[in-house]
Amino acid sequence: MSANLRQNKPRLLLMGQRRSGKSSITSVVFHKMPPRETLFLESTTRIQKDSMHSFMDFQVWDFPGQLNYFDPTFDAEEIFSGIGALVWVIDAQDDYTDSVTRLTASVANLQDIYPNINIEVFVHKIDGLSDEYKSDAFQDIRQRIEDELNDHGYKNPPVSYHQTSIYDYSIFEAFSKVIQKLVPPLGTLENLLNILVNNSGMEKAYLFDTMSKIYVASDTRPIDMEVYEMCSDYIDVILDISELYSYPRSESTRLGPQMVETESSVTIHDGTMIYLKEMNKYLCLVSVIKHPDAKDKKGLLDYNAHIFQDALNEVFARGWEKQENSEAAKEPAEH
Amino acid sequence: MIYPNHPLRTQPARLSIIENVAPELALTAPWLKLELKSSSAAPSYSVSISKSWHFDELDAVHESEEEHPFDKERDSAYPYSDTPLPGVSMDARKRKKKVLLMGKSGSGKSSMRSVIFSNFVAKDVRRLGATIDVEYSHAKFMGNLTLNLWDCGGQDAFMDSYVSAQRSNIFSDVAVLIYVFDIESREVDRDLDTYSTIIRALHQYSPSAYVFCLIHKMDLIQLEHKEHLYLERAQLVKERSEGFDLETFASSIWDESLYKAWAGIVHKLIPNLAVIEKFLHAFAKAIKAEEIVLLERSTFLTVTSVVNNTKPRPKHKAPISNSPPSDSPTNESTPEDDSNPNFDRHERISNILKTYKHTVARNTSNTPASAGFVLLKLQTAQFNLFLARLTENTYVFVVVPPGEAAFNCAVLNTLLAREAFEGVTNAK
Repeated sequence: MSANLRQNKPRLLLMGQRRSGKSSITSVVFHKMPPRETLFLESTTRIQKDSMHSFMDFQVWDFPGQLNYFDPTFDAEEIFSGIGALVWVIDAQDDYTDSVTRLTASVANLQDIYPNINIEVFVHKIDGLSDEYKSDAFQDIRQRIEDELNDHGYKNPPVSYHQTSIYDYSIFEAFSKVIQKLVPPLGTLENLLNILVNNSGMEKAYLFDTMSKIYVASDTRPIDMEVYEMCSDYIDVILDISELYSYPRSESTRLGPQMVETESSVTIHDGTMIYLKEMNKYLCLVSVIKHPDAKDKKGLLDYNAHIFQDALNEVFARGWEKQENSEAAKEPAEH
Repeated sequence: MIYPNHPLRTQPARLSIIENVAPELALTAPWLKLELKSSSAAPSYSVSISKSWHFDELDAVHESEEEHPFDKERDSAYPYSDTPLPGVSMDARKRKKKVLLMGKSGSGKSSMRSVIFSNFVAKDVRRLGATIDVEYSHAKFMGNLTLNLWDCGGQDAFMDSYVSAQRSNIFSDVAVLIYVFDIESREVDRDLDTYSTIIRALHQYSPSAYVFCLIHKMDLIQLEHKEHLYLERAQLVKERSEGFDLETFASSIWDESLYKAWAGIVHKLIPNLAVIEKFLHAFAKAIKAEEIVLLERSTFLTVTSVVNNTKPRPKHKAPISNSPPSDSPTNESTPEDDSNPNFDRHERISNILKTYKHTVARNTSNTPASAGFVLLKLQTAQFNLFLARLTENTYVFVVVPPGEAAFNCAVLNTLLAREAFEGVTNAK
């Protein structure tokens, strides 16, 4: 893998104390495990590397609590060079003093060597706390980390905080925020989405990573949790149904020409339409349309989405030229 | 008019039993009263329902249809048959199937009823309290089939009264008995004894009823033990079933197995199934569809399905492959006709669609009952499919081979076929 490619494809490290929920997070977000089944996950005893090849390269490194990976025996260069963000998971329901101490030590170390790494703190298992206690715990953790970093003399370190839980959408939302910081052409994507939304009468449009349901970009209108939930669940519906019917047919009957990309729409009882279109191997566009004419102008929608797709793939082709080329060679074989 | 098996008659006895059962019931006394009031309204229930009965699209077909086996036999056993109520035709009453839901207390009867028929999501069922005596509910299918669901509380005192004081009231005129076993139960023998008692009572009053046994809460069993534990328990149940036509299912409200079990049950009850299947089959040929599945509107249960260029593949065959092959002569399911390797796809579709319906309802501030889909389309490189409303109570789910123009035609034709579907069935 060339150094150039490494810079363009950000990697993520997921760390935290034992039993803070790292394996659960990866299982739910990247392996589509139902949240309640994470109860049965065994605890991770060794450093565990789990890599995901999706829109981005995710590497999840699970560190047992007693290891100090800034020890000279560990190759810090190998671990930390080329990562885009370090996600630190803190169990909000547990005693978090240790975790906070270890986190600040790590941040201090990292800041000296790799000042470009974003530190993302997930205050996790927040669902178990009552509403008023939630923000208290969150504020407390945040305050402690900031105080300790200040004491060490680090002003305005690149640390951001998220409240997460695997039982709702907050974990996907948090990951989306993390990823968006690492997508180089985010501004361009948002711009493209804005143009699409304004010209197609869409309420809101998201560009999702199909595998993980993390959204890479959305148009710049305010995010509406309700719309987000319907869109992200719709991806599940499509993936699940596709899985049932994409078996290899013995004799392939075709009734006519058709585009290779998946495309889907659903009109629900109040006339809202949810429109999904596959953009490339990793990404899909999901949008909500409340415009009453949407049903009749499906052709126009398709056309606009197609133009957007071309623009999008051009943006990414520029960044990842090599990657795209090798995939373009593979693509026809798979379809 | 005098009803010999009037629920009111047994009420004093019931009250005293309830008072004996548990002191904590006294706390819920107002509710208990309500409960009794509702059952005291029961004598008029057949009348009130007959008023609200309207003949919609599929009704008229029924007369000419080949009857389900138990329809004829049941007429003679029907207690009110010689005193027909004014304004109620025999047909209307025949189409109401009495379904008993029984099983030990806490085995999950009301939970599964709520998930299937009342749009509960699985985690909501924790809110349900114990069922006191019998809770009545109706579920309307396909316009011409109404399930009269009797959810019978499973505490021992109730069970005793079912087989003694209320015996004829409960067990006469039963179309289906659904008996629920808890796989985690520690008193297997005792459960089976109770089951035997119930079966004997059923045998006395409704010998032609279908019996379905659900081995429930399978989600609590580890994957590797599921199969043999289920088979073992199903075998025990079969031995106690006194020659009833029995089907067993492994079920859990947490996955699609519940839909499989209930689709099997409903499939047995649809009166004019053959006509519907014939129509769907002709329709599948006309639009070159790979597969057509007919789903009930509110529950998303599979009513029936056809795979093109083959004979209709009745839904109830799939569950049988679950039980030991020795006692299932109909086990020649049609793998060579049905090229799709996912045999559980129908219940999974039910589950997927219903889950998404809940998401939609939650996010459009609607009740799950009023949420629904108008049209869902999916086009991929390997297949195209769509889901559309067919009749008032059904969705049709159609899979066609790829081809954009053909797909759009199929969608339009289906929308046009709505009328034909009503027309074809009404003409008979």
